[in-house]
Amino acid sequence: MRMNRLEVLSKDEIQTIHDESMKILHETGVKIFDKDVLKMLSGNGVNVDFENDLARFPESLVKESLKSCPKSFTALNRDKENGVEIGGDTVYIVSGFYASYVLKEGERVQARVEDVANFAKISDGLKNMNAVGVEVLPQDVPAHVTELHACNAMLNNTAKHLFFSPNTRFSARGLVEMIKAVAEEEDLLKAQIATFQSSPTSPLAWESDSVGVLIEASKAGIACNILPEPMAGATSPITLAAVLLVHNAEFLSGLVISQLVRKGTPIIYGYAPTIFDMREASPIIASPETIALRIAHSQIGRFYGMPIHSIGPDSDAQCHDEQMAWEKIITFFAALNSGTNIMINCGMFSTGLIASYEQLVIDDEILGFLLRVIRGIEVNAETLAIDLIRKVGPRGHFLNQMHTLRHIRTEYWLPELSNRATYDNWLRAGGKDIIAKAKEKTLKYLKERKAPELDPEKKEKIRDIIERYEKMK
Amino acid sequence: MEKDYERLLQKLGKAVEEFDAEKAREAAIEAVNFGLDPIAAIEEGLAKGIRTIGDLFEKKQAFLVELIMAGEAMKAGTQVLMDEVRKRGLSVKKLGRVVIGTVHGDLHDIGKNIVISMLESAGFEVIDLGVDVPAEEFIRKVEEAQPNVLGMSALLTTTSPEQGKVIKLLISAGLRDKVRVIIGGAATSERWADEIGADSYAADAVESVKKIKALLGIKEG
Repeated sequence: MRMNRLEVLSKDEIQTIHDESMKILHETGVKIFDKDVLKMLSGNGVNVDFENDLARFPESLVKESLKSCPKSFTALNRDKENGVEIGGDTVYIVSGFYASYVLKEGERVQARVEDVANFAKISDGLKNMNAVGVEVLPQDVPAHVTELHACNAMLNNTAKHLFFSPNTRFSARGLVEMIKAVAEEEDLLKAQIATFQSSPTSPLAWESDSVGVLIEASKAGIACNILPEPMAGATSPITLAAVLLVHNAEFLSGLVISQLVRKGTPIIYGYAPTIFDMREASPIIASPETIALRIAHSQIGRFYGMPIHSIGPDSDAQCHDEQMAWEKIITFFAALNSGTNIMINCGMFSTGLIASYEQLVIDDEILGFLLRVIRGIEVNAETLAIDLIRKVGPRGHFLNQMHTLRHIRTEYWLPELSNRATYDNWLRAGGKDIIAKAKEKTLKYLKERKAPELDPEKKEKIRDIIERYEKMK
Repeated sequence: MEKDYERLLQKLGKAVEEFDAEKAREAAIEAVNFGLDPIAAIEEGLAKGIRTIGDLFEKKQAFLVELIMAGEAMKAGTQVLMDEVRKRGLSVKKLGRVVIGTVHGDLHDIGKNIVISMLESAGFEVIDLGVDVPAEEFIRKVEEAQPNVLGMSALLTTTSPEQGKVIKLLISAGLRDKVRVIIGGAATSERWADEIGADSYAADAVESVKKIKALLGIKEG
């Protein structure tokens, strides 16, 4: 059987978190800094205090929204192919997301458009990456159109499904235009070639731009990952249960907004579990508490029955070292084996601020490893091989059996980077560590892989859109 | 005619590459019935298949089980073809004679047997002394069979000193310059080979064939 799912919450505890979230939404309410949204909410039975930008949600409306939000959605690639239904037991891995820097030759340098292109090209080749995110936000183009340039670089270097977390409503609009041009579809609900993400501001508030992104996604028919990130002790009470509670209330407020804009908009139950280290005064995303939070989050997401996201594999380490390795593995494993559908952050570390080409391919390797662990052990007549054991008998061996041959490529995970050679053989092959091997792989991909060509007509269309947006503001 | 000749050789090689002993046997029978030179059928047909898998194994693109199964397919085909060789009164020229065994105190034989299978596939005559072979037995056999190469396997650090002991005995018996010595097994290394005065060390079965060929000045191909 498949490995048992990890759990840290009982059914009753999940129910309590849900019930208390409803109370927070109804009694405390959520601040939303957008008059149009408040008007829309007010017209739909939400108790709005316009003077204080405060919306208090009735339970019935939240329940309705939970019902109208689909249990799954089908993510397509750039060319509207390779549909994957996200929800249920699906695992869908997205490369990294919005780092500011790239680690090159041990040095932290500002990200450029060229890096976005390279990351996309590598991700396109990695077999465990299902989709590609804006790995780094380029700093060598005007700030208001940086995501549009990133999108252009991605579309030209990968055909995989794309993920964006637009920084502004303006940027979201530009991206929607680009995505529509590539999908050749006005209603993107019919062609989910990209997914958006938006975050409320903890505790319990939506900035105008954040809610704007959610609205643009819902209007366009783009699935949106609502990603609250309350920081334990700083922007939520310090206790983990309260973090979950604040997170859930914030999420549900976003869910209601999306469903009021357009019923049936696919929403992802997203989360970036974060604590606040009070010695360093810095947010941390790979502490043991965040591992427990990832697991709890998946459990609540399953309770609601919608696609679940959390960040991972993550690390707070600042270089390719052992801390990086253990944090990457445990964050990945916790999310994967608690039923998370979408994981984003491959290639990143430094609490999400730095990405490296090497780490991206290492994360792909770690993922392959973990997916095999979770697959568990299949027990049946063929896998028990009773007849074979009888046939070979005591003191025989199984190295010359068809049964061995039949299962060698499917029963086992085959590493691409990990060392399995003996010391002598390892030394003879150059005695390389994992970083050196990862670097070789990235160079090979960058040199040999041919980016799947984007239709020239679409290329021109998206270039025109970028040009138009560059002139605005 | 020329075409059928090529097709049959390819069929033999392909059966080995597909690890299919039954297909290899059938292809060998077909080759015999067609009147193909059985020695050419072995060397340019079956052996070509084993070389392909061996190359893939070296590049980490084939698995040990595939290497072994390819060897078994080759063996199945070779049996049929060797009957024909004898029937025609021909003889196959061997690349050389190798005496091989696992040293005293060590009962591991899987790796050694894979080496034997690869050596035989490559065209060597192999005399297998089995496992837990006393040093004196190695000496006796070298004296008697006069092999080109002596191969010793040791899987344990506690048994690898036996390899050194055999070499010392070879020297005192005046046999050291009459035979090339190669060692292998998990407890051994290039450095260990140097330390005990062996001529060569091989890390795996495919390499052992290469190293032995190199020791005897036989070109690859």
